[in-house]
Amino acid sequence: MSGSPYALRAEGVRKVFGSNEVLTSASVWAKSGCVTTLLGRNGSGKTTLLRVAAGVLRPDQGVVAVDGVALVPAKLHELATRGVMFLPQGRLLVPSLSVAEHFRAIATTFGGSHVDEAVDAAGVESLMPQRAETLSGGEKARVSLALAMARAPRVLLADEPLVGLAPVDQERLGQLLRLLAAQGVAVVTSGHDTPILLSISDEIIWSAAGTTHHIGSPEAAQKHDQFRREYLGPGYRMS
Amino acid sequence: MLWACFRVAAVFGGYEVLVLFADLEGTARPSALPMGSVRLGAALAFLVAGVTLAEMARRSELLFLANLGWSKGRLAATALAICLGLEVCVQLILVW
Repeated sequence: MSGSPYALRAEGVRKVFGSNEVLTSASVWAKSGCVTTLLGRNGSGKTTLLRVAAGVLRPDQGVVAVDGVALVPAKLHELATRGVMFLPQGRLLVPSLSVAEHFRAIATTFGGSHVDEAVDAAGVESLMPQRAETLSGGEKARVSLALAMARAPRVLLADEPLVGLAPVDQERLGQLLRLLAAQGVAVVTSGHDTPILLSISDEIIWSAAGTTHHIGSPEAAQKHDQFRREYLGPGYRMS
Repeated sequence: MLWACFRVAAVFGGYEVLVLFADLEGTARPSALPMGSVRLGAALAFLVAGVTLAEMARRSELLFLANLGWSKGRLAATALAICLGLEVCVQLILVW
């Protein structure tokens, strides 16, 4: 282990798509046992930043480091061997495979010691025979997160895992993310489901205008004038 | 992850095209085909493999594999090994 406090860190990321500079200099990090949440308006570059951190997109500038060791270029399959898991927006499942086959793939690769616990925690036992393409949005989200739990990663990067879900499913998945953090996983998430995300987070990073601002705790975020004005909006009630 | 490899091994479909040409042209086996047909079959094989990979990427299947530590190169190499294995089997059947 290195002396770095970050299990994973993407630093100074710049990313340009054609003539559109989505990120100018943005950073995100993952700390063991913490849920770090990226908040920001649509188009602020949250997904791009997470995809760079996950080694899915190559940045034009910036570096991705695991335990303080820079990987150039970072690639997801290499990060995966270092304990990183990435849940993309729109879930992770292969449509033609059953839920059970997904868990089998995880168990074959990483060992199956956490599968039962994950299946129980996410309540997906009854879905095991079903093909992924037959699942509802909420079921796909639960199965995806259960797969992450079964894999027992060191770092989980989850891009908008709560989007489009019923409040009861958001609550359940939020608890699962907290459970993962309690087990020592470094969780990074994003989204717009602000009340639930603030309630499960330890740290907030604000993504705006191509860069990121470390806001601090959820309490600090709710008291941050500029963040309140430009992201939460005047109608937001502090919890 | 043989499931994924077999999907990429849809490149084998290109080989099946060769077999089809062989039937159409009355030859006993693909190795007896004229080079033009072989090239066409190979081109179709690459096309099928490319379309399969693109479809897997579109449906985030490659992301699932990458999360398991599988690179595209490893996937392609395993698929190629499967193709070669299947080719040997088909050749043996045709010879018999």
